[in-house]
Amino acid sequence: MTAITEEPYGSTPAPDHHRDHPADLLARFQQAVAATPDRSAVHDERGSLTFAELDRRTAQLGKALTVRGAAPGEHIGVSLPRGADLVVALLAVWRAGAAYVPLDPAYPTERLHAMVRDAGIRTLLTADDEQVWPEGVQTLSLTELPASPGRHPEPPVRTPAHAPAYVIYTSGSTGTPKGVETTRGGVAALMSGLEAAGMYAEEPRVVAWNASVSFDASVQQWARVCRGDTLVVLGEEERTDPARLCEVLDRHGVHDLDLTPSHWHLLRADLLVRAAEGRRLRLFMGGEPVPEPTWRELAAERAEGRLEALNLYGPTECTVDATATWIEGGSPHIGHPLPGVRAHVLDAALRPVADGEEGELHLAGAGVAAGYVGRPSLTATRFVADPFAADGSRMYRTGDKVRRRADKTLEYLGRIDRQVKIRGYRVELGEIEAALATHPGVTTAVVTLHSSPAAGEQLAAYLVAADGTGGSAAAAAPGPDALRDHLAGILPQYMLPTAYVTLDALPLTVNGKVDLAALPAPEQAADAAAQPEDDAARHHAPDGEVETLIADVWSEVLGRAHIRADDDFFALGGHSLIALRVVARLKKQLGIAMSAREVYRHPRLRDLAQHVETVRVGR
Amino acid sequence: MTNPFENPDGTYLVLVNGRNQHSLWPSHIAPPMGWTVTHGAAGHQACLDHIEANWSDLSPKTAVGQ
Repeated sequence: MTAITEEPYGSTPAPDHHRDHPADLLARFQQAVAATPDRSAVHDERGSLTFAELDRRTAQLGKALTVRGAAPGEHIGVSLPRGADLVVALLAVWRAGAAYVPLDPAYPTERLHAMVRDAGIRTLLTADDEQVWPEGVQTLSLTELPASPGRHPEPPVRTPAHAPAYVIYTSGSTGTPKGVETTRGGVAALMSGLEAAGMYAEEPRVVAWNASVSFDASVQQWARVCRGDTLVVLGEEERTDPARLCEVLDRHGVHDLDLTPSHWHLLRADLLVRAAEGRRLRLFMGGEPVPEPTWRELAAERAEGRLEALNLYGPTECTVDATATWIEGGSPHIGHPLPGVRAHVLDAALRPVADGEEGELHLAGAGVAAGYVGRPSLTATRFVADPFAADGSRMYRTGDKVRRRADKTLEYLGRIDRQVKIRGYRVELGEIEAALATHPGVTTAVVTLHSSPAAGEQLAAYLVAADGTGGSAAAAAPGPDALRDHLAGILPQYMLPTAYVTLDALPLTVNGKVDLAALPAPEQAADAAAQPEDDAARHHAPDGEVETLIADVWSEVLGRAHIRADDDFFALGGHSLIALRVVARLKKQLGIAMSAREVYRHPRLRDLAQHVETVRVGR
Repeated sequence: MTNPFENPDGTYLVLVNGRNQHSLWPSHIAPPMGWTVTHGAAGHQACLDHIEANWSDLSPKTAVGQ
C-alpha cells in the first residue's frame, strides 16, 4: 500500500469568519437592503429595481414558492429569458431555502423534460405558456403574483450551508447530461474567496451579467447582488452586438464584465477603443483556456492601466471558480487556488508530483459540490476521499492535466479524457456520439473537435451508415440535414456538429481504437460532397450582387469553398459569434447596419440577401 | 496518465464518511483517515453496484465539519 503525505498547498488562509463559515448569501442580501434600500439592485432593458423593491418582490415570490412546497433540499425549475425577473426568480428560490435548476427555453423539449424528471422538479417558474412540461409539474408565472405586500417582507427561510443552491446540467460522456448539485455554503465560499483575493472590489460595483444562467459562470456575476453590487442584466442583442454592449456599459457605468476568451475575440476591437478612451473595465474571463495572443494583449492593457482582466478557472463541480489570477506577465496560466480552495497535482497513484511535472488536478474545500443528482456511483468515482485532509472530506478529480510552475502558479495542459470546450461550452464528445447512434441509419459514429483557421473550432461527425456494406454504405447514409435535424431534437445548439462525413469504416489504430489522426479534414469532405455537378446544383449558385457578396463572406468566415443560395447559416456551422463577423463585413462592404439577430432570423442565404436588399431600398 | 479510479479490471474498496458520503477507492492505496471501509476489496463494477444500492440521497446526512 502507498501512504500519502502532503501539506495542503494553496490554502492561503482567509480571515477566519470567511474561511470556516462564510456568511450565508441571503443574510448578506438582507444587510445590503438595510444599508442602501434605494440604490439600484438590478437593471435590464426594460427598467430597474432598487434593493428595497428586489427585497419585496423576492419575499413575495419566495412565499408563493414556499406555499407550493419549496424548502431546503427541493429543486425548483427556472425557465425564464434574460432580465430582471430572472434575478427575482433565482433569489426568491434561495429565499425559500430551495435550489434552482436553470431550464433554457431554447433547449430541445426532450432534453428539458429529461432534466425536469432527473432533478425531481415539481414546481417551475416560467413566462412561457406555450412550453409543455411533464405531467404533475406545477408552473408559476411571475406575472401571476398578487399586488405587492406590506412594507415588511418576511425574512428568508433559514437554510443550512450543506443545502443545495443550484443544479447545473453538463454534458455526460455516456449520452445523458448530468446535474451537478452545489451547496449554499459553496456559493458563499466562492464569494468570500473572490473577495479575499481582491478580485471582487470591496466597495459596491456595477456588474454586467453576460453568461447564460445555464452555465455556472453566471453565478459569479448574478449572486453579487447579495453583496450589494448592482447588476446590469445584458439582453441577447446587447451581449452579441459590440456597439450596443458598449452603449450599455457606458449608460450604467459598468465596472465588471464576464466573458469567454472566444467572446472577447469578437468584442475586443470595440472594448479596446473604449479602454483607450479611459473608460475602465474589469474583465472576468473564464470557460476555456486563454490563448497566448489574447493573454499578451490583455497583459499589455493592464500594464498600461487600461483594462484589468482576470483568468478564472474551475469546473462546475467545484462551484464556479477554483483558481484565479490577474492576466499579466508572459504566458497563460490559471494562477493559484482561491482562498479556501486546496489544489493537489497528483500522479496515477494519488501521489503529489514534483513541481514542473504533469499531473491530474484534484480540488478540495468548501466549494466541492454535493455530487451528480441521482448518480451515486458516478459521484463516488469523481468525488473521492481526500487523503491530504484525512478528515472525512472529499476532493474532486477534475480530469484536467496541469503542472505547477516554479512560481507556484498552475498551468493548464489539457484533458485526460475526451471532454472538450467549444467557445466556452463544456462538451463530452461521447454524448454527441451516443445521440448520433440513436439514428436508425447510423451504425457507429465518432465526433472530433476540429480547428480551422477561418471558422475557429467546429465539431465534426464521422459516421458509418447502417445496412450497407463496403462501397454501398455511403449511398444509403442519412444526409447531413437529416442527421442535424435528428440531433437538434436531442442536443442543445452548441453541441450540434457542423460537418457530417460518412465513411465506409472508421479508421482504426493497431490497438483497435479509432484512429483520430487518420480521419479526413471535415471541410475537404464537405466540399467534395457539395461540388456543383449537375444543373440542379448550378441552379442554387448565388445570384446577384448581394447573394454573391454574402456567399463570399460566409465562405470566408465559415471556411467553406462552395456556398449555395439555399445553404443554411447554422447548418454550415454559424453561431452568434460568427454572425457578428458577418454583420461587420456587411457593414464594411455594403454600408448596411444590421444586428446579429437579423442574421439568425434569415438563416437561408437567399432569404438574408432579400432582407439586405429590403433594408438597402428602405434607407 | 492512467486513472486509478476507472480501471474496470482493478480492485476497489467502498469508503463512507460521517455524512454518509460514499467514495470509490483503489484497494492498493491506504484509505484516508476519516473514512470507513464498508465494502470490498471487490471488482470495479461490484463496488459501483454496492454504492448504487446503498447511497440513495446525495445530500450530506449532517452538517458537522467540512
